[in-house]
Amino acid sequence: MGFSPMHDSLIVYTFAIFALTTLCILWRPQGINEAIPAISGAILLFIAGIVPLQDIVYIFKLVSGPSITIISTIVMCIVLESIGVFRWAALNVVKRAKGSGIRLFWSIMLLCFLMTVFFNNDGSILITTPIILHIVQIIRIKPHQKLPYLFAGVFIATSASLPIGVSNIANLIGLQIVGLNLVSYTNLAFVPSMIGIATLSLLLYLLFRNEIPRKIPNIQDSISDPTFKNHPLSGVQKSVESMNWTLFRTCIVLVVLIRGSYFVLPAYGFSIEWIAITGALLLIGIRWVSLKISPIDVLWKAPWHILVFAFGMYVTVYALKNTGVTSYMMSLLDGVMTQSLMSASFASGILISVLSNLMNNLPSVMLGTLLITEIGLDTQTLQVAYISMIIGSDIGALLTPLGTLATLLWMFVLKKNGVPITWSAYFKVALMVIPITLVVTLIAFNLWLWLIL
Amino acid sequence: MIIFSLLMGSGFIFYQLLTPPTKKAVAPTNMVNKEKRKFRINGVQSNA
Repeated sequence: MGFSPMHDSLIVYTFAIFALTTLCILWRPQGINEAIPAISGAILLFIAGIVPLQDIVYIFKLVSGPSITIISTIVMCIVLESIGVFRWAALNVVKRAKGSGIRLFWSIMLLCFLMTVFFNNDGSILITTPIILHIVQIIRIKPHQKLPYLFAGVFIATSASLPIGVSNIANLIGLQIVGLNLVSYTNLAFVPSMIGIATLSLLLYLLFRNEIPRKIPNIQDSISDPTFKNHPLSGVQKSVESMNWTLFRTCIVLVVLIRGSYFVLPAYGFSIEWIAITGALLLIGIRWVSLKISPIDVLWKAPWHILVFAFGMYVTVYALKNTGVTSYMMSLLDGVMTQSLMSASFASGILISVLSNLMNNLPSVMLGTLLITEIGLDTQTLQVAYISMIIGSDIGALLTPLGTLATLLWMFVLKKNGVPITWSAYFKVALMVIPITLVVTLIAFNLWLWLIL
Repeated sequence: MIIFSLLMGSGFIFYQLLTPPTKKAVAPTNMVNKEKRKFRINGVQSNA
């Protein structure tokens, strides 16, 4: 696993494969699954001998646990979706807004935040974006008035993967490398990230306050309106009537308890991936017994490719390390990283924000984690630098759509539903809220460290 | 334990957000019919 000097042509080959792999993942020509370019790049680098077999085994062990945890979480999401939980959410959120557009704005942000906390960021985007689209259709607002709700959804859903560390695969993979677990991560990151999310919410509200409609139609009136029969949510009304509420409530309680057990059961020797698998199997079993729906659909819909994607991506990044790119970056950052906790924190957070917006946050965090472990920092500085990188990856990366796969997914879902948002329109909004939120979160993190250490 | 409690608190809000507001209890039809019969047996005019 150590660095060995390489021939120049092999370095160029590695960079070319890395660039091509990242480009194909972000561009997805012909709509190919992102796992295909990731694993293809990994195979080419393995064949060339840049990543030897012992590194491959190490990487597989490293990414398999977090990937299984995320796959199990998405399986839970699929089960809940199949019994109609999220279709009901759209209707319920509008009802709870009680005719106020501002209350709806905050309710949507709360829903997106909780969806990421209890599931994961990509799942949250995939589930909540159609819900928000349904909501903005149901309340029949003007096109420009839809933007506050849509932007609030994607920004909050992505940044909400910061507080507890289990909602994003990039966060999970690095935890073990820097010697953190979910509890120690949350102790360090929860308070500053909540301050960051509150700042982001407030900035979004201030930015969009003139676009948010003060009054929205009452949902009860809308549904009883005979002209409303062909509305997409007319199907929701039907499903609400036939909903098995006991099953509905049992499933939500179970999801919350499983999430809570991630922070309790590891102390008794249970691994997170096994808790996640047990939770997913329990939900599938309950659905099978209650509704007689076999688990076959879950087998088909489960995102098995996540394991292949994470593995392939990590091999590609590891090849960069083996060519010596991390050693070069290390020599540039060594001084600032070892100067003080605050300088290490700001340098890591800003570096990953910049890298993420150039080449996506997953490879950036992987590369950054390898980089900070090579510098030879003490454990405390290493962990502080790692959490700052996650702040950069979950907040700073939102500056451009390229920064996270969740944002690209969001733009794709919107385009498919006839609400295209251009990159420049996205950037104009992000520029007003993301840099400030990033700086506030990093300051809050350093103040929190000063308080607790 | 604090993290667990915070998560459970958030879980409660999540549950509230997703589940419909509780409706007022409504007596099932068979209970209403039973009450009507009881009124008729006692010779009292029922307004139910």
